[in-house]
Amino acid sequence: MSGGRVAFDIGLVGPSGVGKTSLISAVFLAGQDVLAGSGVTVVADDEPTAGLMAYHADALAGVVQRGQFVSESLSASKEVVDFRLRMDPGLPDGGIALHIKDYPGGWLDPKARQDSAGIKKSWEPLQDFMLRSSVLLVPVDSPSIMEAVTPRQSRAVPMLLRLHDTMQVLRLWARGRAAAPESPALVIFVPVKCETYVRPAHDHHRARRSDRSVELYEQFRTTYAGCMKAVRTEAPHAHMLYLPIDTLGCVDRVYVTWPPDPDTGVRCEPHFRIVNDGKRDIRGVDDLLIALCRILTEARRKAEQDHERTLTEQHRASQSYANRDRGLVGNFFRAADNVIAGRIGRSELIRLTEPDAPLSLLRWLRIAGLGQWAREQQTSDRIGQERLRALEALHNLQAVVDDLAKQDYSDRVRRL
Amino acid sequence: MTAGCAARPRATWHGVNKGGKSVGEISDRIEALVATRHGRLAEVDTEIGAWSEAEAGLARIAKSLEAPTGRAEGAAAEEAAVLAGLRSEVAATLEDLRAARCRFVRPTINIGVSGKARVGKSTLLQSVSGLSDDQIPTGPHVPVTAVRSRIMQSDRRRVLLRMHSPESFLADVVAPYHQDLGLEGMPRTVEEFRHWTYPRPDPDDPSQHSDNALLVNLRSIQASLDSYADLLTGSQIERGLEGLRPFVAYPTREEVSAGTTHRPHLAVREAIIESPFPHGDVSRLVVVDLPGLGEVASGAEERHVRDLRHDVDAVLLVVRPSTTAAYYTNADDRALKLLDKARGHVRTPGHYVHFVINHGGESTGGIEALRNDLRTRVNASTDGGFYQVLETNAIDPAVVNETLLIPLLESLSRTLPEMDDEVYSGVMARAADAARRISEALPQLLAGRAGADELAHLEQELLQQRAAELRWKVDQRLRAVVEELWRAAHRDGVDERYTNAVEAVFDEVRAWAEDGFGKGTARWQEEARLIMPTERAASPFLVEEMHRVRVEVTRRFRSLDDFFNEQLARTWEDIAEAFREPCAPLLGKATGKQALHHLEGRLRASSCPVLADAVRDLLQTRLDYRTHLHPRVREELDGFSFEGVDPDTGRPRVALLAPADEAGVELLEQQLRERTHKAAFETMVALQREAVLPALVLYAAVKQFEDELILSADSRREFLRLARNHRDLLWPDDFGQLEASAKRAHDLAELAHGVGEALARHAARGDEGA
Ligand SMILES: Nc1nc2c(ncn2[C@@H]2O[C@H](COP(=O)(O)OP(=O)(O)OP(=O)(O)O)[C@@H](O)[C@H]2O)c(=O)[nH]1
Ligand SMILES: Nc1nc2c(ncn2[C@@H]2O[C@H](COP(=O)(O)OP(=O)(O)OP(=O)(O)O)[C@@H](O)[C@H]2O)c(=O)[nH]1
Ligand SMILES: [Mg+2]
Ligand SMILES: [Mg+2]
Repeated sequence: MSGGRVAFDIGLVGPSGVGKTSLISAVFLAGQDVLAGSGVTVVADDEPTAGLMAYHADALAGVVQRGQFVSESLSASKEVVDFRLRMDPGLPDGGIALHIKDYPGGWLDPKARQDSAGIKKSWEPLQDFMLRSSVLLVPVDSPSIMEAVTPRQSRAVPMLLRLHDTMQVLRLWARGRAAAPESPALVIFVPVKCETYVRPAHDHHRARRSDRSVELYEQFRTTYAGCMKAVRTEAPHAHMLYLPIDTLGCVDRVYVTWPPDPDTGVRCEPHFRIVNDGKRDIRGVDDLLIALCRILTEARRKAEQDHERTLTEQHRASQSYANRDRGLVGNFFRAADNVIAGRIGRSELIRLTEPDAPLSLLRWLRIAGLGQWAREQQTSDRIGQERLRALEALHNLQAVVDDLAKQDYSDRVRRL
Repeated sequence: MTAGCAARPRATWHGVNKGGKSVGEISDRIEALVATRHGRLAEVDTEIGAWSEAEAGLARIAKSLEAPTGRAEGAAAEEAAVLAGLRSEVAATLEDLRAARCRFVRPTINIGVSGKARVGKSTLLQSVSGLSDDQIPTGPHVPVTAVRSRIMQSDRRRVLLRMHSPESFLADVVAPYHQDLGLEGMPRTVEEFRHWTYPRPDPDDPSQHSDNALLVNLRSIQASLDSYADLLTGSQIERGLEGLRPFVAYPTREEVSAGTTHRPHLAVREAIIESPFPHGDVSRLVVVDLPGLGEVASGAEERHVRDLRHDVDAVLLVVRPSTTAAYYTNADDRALKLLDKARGHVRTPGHYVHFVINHGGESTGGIEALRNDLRTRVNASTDGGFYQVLETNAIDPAVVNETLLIPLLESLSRTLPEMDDEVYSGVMARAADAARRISEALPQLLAGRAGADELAHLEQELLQQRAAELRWKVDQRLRAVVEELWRAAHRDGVDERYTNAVEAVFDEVRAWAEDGFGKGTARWQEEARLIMPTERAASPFLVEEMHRVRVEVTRRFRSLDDFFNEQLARTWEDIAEAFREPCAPLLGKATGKQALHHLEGRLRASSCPVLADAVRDLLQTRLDYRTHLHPRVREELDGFSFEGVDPDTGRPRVALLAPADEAGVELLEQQLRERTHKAAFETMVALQREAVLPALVLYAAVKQFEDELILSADSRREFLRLARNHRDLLWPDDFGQLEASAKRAHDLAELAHGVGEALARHAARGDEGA
């Protein structure tokens, strides 16, 4: 949260090289496609993000053009980078802000943090951020779990995935979620680098055998069983999704080598070739957006139910909500409750729609029928055209969100 | 000597002739007697033969009983004791028989002289033989005769000295002293004796003073060793009659006083003196002079008895009154008792022993007193009641002839046939008795031992036990092999050597593809360019190249067969080793597969078809790439075929397409390379995923083997056959011992039978006699 604005914070848990940066980049790129024609688009919310996204896209493009693709061709992240993507309904600074903090995956290693005061210092706010987030994205390195065949390779997998550290973060996060059971909690395991397994190969003769998505899922379940169990035990109400994303989509794994590694015994080094003429073909981001929208709408529904209860429980009760840490989304909905409850007057409402309004657009998401209400007031009220348009845009965003939330996941997604 | 002999007139003899029985008559009777004796010889010899055989048989039995049998100590000791008893009985019987033989084989009448020292024995024999002091030493005061002399009537004049060997010297002369003195140890050689440390008579140890005399004797024997050591040759020395004295007599009193150490007589066992007797008509007369009784010398009495026992037909017990004791003394009585031992089977002591009162040079009163005392004591106051008492004057040959020799011979010519009968039947009865006892005891002795039948059973049982053990051991070891394979095939899953081997092949293929498919990139591109331009992707070049790649990849992965062969070899090795400990000899010197082949041969030769087939089937197990793995990876390589059909066009699908330009060739190479890499990789992974397969195949094969070998219905029986056929190879000790036992039992039975046979006739005769 910066500038007092509410944003949809999304935590990202993954070791170095798993594909965190690529995943963000994919959400950025593909999000635009998903929302194409809806009047809503995904934009970089600030300058640095825009720059980074562009850089990343270029780097990938360059890699692809060289014809052969090696995992390490993208440079690893060196510092914490705040990615702010916004579902932009066409209002400056309006829309749903998705706030993701990218960081060097190496920091996940407690030892790395121990060895460097700098890392330790940067890690703490980062961890706070992750623990506060309603949604955690856990990129899963598919080749590691799919290609390990020999015992030596299999033994290395948990270390390569930093399963233990990941589980620690998940557990902490889940405990935080458990403290606020009324606020949404979602973990999304995102298999990445999974093109070779989840989509038919280009070789005709292998098409039949090449769909290994079920195997990927099974392998994931086996490998991440501990993580899932940790979440389930600590926060029974949390949702978990399995949601593969092809961040490139134009590569195919040729072979994998397992060179020796001092820490893990061996490490997984997949070698890809470019297919589809190197045209990036991101898949799965739509599922991710659906998931995010669902959680938004679900949170709203929950808030409405809360509201019913609030009415009967009187003010004191709602006051007590206010005193609780219910998470960012929860706070926002509390504001929305107030609007609905008529505790916020029209002028306040107008003020709320001002571009610099402290709670920004997210709070409007919750306000069912707000646009309708505004239109009804149109003639009699002296709400400025601009503000009315803003309200329309908001309404549209709301509709888009609702619409997305209603959509079915692709069959690659599984509820866990 | 000749002079001395000539001095004795033949007339004396003739004189006797006038007064009593004719000498000729006596001679005739003696001739007849000797003939009768010879007639008995054959039977005694047969007897001796049988008993010698029995003796040897028992010796062999004893020897084979001595060999360790693993029987209880106590039982063995008891057995040995019983057997020792039997053997000594046989030995005694044999000695008896030999004594009898000596008697019956003799062509002469032998007369020994016994009695205390100094009674004139030698003097008497001088008178009989016509020899002088030089040959038959006599002398006053101290004992003189030191060595037995057999003096026989002959035309020759010579002496044979039978010398001691070192051994017989030590045994006959020295040993008795050691025994009597209770000395520890015994010199084993003359040299040891020379340096043996003997105690000196010790004034401070009164308990030992009674031994002083013996000790002094022994020390003087030792001190004079130099004078006779060289004579201990064990041989016979023939010499003339002169200068014999030192060899047969003790040193004289003067010599002893002078501290002489010259005692050559100690080396002499016996002197045999041949000389013409004055009364030449009695040609079959031998007289034996002996050292007198009552000397202080260890072993003297035993020697005395022994010397008389085998050798003489009658004994003259010479008594002589002394100035202080003219009566039948205790010492005389001891001599009489001793002669009882020498008498043997002769029943009547009076036939054997004849008292001689030597009254030469003595007072008439003394003689009278002795005569009366003798009459009272030994003859129960009846003249000649028990013993004949002759009186003579030993120093006078004529008197000796008349009063002693003629009456004695006359008497003997009557009693000897009787004595011979007694000896003969005594010996035979004793032999029969012994034969009966031995015939009874021997089978009993051997009955306690395992018989041949029992041993056969034992052998069967042992064989069964060994066969079961063998089977069990093989099973146990096989099971370990099976378990390990099971683990490899199931739990541990993956053999890293296998996965590494597969990976190595993949790396090879990758490197090969990167090197222009084995041609070098430049060359490959060159070839591609030459053929490609017109033909484009579907060129024969490409078709050929893809084919080549497929073949190459297959070929390379087939090199995994090396790995499989090694696996297989190791398994054979393990299984062979499972057999090794329990039955190494059946495997030969070979190991692994060779050893198992060897085993199969053995099994087949031992009529164990089921086991042999099990081994054969096991060895036929195949573990190779083509059989087991190729089908699984075949699919990965299908991508290299053009046989795929495009579903849209229905035409053969062209797998690779590239623009026909420079870049196109490069692209083509890259695509083919990627394809190769991918196929090789997928093949590798497929093979690695099958990592348990080799172990599974081996597990299945070995498990099957184990089942057939151990669990099949015929397993037990065939193992027994195997064991039976190779028992000496497999358990040489066990069955060797049993066999030895069986053989010994057999031998013992044979021996016992032999002994029984040998003695049977006599036992039977003993019965008849009884
Ligand atoms: N084949 C394939 N490669 C991917 C995918 N996503 C990421 N990669 C590759 O994985 C490598 C690492 O990706 P990054 O996004 O830099 O990983 P990261 O998690 O940000 O790594 P750090 O910054 O070191 O923490 C890059 O070379 C990507 O090209 C994917 O979906 N498929
Ligand atoms: N006058 C006389 N002297 C005799 C007679 N018999 C023996 N002597 C003497 O008694 C002594 C002993 O006689 P030996 O013939 O040596 O006695 P021995 O019994 O042979 O004695 P050992 O050989 O020592 O046992 C000698 O000095 C003889 O001369 C005899 O009949 N008359
Ligand atoms: Mg990064
Ligand atoms: Mg004498």
